[in-house]
Amino acid sequence: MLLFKLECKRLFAGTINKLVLVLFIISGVFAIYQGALGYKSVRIDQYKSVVVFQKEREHVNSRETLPAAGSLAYYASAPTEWKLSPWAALFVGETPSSMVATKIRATALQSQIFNREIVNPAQQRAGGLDLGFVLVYFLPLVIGILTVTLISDEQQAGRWRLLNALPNSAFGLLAKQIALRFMVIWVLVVILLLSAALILSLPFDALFWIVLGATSLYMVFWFALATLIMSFAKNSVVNSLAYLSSWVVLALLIPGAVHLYLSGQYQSDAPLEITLQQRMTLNDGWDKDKQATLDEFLRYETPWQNTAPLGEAFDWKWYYAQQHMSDLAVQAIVEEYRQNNQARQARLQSLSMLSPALFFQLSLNELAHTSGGYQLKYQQQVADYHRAMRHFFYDFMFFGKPVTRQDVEDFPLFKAQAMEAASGFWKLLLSALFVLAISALSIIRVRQLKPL
Amino acid sequence: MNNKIMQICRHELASKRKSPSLWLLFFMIQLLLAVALFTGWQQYQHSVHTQTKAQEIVEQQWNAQPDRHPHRVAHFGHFAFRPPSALSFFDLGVNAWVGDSIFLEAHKQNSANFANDQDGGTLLRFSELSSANILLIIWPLLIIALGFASVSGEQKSGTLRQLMSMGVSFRELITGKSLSYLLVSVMFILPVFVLALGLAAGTGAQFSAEAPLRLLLLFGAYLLYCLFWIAVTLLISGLVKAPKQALVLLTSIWFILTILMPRMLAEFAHHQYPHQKRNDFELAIKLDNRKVGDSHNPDDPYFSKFREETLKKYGVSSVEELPVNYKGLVMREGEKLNAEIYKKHYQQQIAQFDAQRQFVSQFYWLNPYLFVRDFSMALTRTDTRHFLDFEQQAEAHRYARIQKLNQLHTHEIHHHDDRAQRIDKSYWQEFDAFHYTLPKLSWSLSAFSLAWALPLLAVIALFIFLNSNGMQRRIYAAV
Repeated sequence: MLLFKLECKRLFAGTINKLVLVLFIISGVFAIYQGALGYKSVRIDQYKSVVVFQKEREHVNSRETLPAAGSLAYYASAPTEWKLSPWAALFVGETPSSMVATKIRATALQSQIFNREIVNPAQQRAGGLDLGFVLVYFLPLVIGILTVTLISDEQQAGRWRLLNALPNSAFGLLAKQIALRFMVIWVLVVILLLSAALILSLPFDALFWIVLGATSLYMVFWFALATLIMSFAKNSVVNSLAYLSSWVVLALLIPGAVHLYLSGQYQSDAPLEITLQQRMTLNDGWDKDKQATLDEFLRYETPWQNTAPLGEAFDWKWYYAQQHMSDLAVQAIVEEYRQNNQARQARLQSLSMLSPALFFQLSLNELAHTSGGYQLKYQQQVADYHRAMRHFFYDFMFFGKPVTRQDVEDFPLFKAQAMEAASGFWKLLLSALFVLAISALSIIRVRQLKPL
Repeated sequence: MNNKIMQICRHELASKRKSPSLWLLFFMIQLLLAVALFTGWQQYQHSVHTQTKAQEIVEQQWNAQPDRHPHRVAHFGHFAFRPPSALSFFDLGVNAWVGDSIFLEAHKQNSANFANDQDGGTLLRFSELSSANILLIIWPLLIIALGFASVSGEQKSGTLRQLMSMGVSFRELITGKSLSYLLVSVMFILPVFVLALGLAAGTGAQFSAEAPLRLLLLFGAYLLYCLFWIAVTLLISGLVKAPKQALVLLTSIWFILTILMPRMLAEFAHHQYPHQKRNDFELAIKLDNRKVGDSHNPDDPYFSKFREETLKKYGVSSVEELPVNYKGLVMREGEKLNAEIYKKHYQQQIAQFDAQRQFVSQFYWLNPYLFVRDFSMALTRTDTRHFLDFEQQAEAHRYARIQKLNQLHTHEIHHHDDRAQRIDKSYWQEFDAFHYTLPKLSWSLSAFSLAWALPLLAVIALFIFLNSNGMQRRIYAAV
């Protein structure tokens, strides 16, 4: 107990140690606060979109005569929702720069799906500060500053030789010192996570424990790395520089290099090609034989085959048929682009093994459903909904069914499907094995450390 | 120059030359810079190629249109592509987060689409690995590694006492060391700039007399940045006795200035001066448009008034008697109203962006990282302002193009049986292609006015403090 008190005193004696811990807490609290604000604005955006649509629907239904189905479909911009976990407040992922509530209507899908959120790009350039950032990038530095010079400090103070002569080996003392530091930082992390959970009313379900478990594991990794560096018995300065360099490589350079590689390897001008080609198809459609376009369309959309032929006047059914045909005209590129994105995601998953920081960051974003992979899933859901919405209107347009007030009420709304959770458990287990191996290695090496 | 200063400088350089780990680090950084510059260059060439080709295609598509009704053409629309700026291979700035192409059509203002920020929330937490970013974030660490022990180390090893007894003054020591680190810095950042100049010269059309000047200013800004870190390193090394403590403190300062503070300020500015999200922005415009009037509705009060005024102006009693096509006039008026409403909301957004930028710029004096980062983006035309300038040029082009079509609608199409008519395809050749006008250097830097003076003064103040008698006493007292 006396030793523990002494060690605590030593830990909190250094001004820099205290400064770093305080800074860690401040940025953690700041990140949680900003995250809560950001998540709130995301939810408001999603909620408001639903309310606005509801208002429009009431407005339409309050009119004396209902508009034609085609016109109704033209103005019905229905809300969708990227279903996020409340953890998205802490691990924001792609949400700040992408649409979380895209509005979609029954016209051509490909000209709506590339909409972007309005962002101040300067803010994105700065990098964003969510709790994920604090845990993934700041936490390792805190660990390093408190730990990496433990042995060398003892050596420089001349105590190391003395400690080695004691019956309770120096290793035991070192283990206690590291355990103390681990506990202090761990308690801080738990306090941050707990207060975040309370502020955001996150449930204490499996996810909470997975996040806590993964963070603890991540901490163990950096402690093990620090121990490994110490085991080379160099002086404090070399240890600090080595640890800092590892951080720069793992946190900064590897993700940067992976980004360079992915953007080079999976570079695609597909969105541009899709847009340019679709526009030409849509425009040429007006000069083409309208009945031919409709017939072509009916070959794909067989349930409406028995529609009457077109007359002389403008007919909405031709309009929507050619809108859909323009989507089909770019189908091949869309499919190629989708596969390209999936391949990119898969490659990102495998490359993320190169750096625990990258791996941890990606895993956190996946747990919160904010990663690029989930963004693609959301877009797929939007595409599915777009089809359901088209089909809803087709009955009225192709079979001349009059729109009633009840039909307006029955218009299908977007229902976010539960996204299947990533296999978090296996990931956790595998990373646990990896961290265990590193820890074992560093412990063996430190045990062999001879007194100088 | 003072002989002793040169000697100290030479000695410092010689001692650093002996360290193999420093050589390794230097070599790695050079390699990193070269890779960053090379990939930046590749990316630049790819986007120049894509944008130029796409712009050519859409111009061709426009010119190849058959006889058409002008309003059909207005809905056919056009595209504006943003060519990457010539120096963007050095500093990618905000390029990843902004789109490169805008669809220009009647009645509607679209935003730039197709940004390159896939998985940015995972991979771009420290922005791209561009040359600018490496110089901004990693290079200071090297300066710290070079100099964290320069004063405290001499103190500890007792060489400071020897130097003093040899008659070397404190000022000479500090100046000599600063000079040596500055020389190392120049040696290391110069190749990138020379290479960048060479590559910029190869950009052909985009290369102008301005490019070397911009690069020179960039070099100056990064040199100032180096000086700032040299001053901070020497200062901490002088104030903190143990080299190890100095290193940890310097690393913490580096972390705060280059990583923590920029993020906190940006987030804080965003919540202090929030801009509208896409859905809110579009809804506000839609509601305002609804309030003004619907040009397609014959009974709309605004357009009834417009009809009366038009009839009065021409001295006729019905729209059929007008010498011009009334429908074209209505289109023109509608487009004008719509563009004004959009502009009002867009300007509000821009004002918020600008307030965010100005909020951050208040801290330039405290944190030169912020200044050099923004200054560098402005010089390479990759900051938010330059992007918004592109959007505004595109909108101006859209407006002019659509109004020209409405003009044709008014004069070349008869009111009777309006929709069935077409005008000759030769009219399409009379439209100018979209050309993005690159902002001049004076415009690029106009947001800074005198903001550059503060970080400069801060660095000078640091050096003055470093050379002050107080500092000297402090160090000597510890010997």
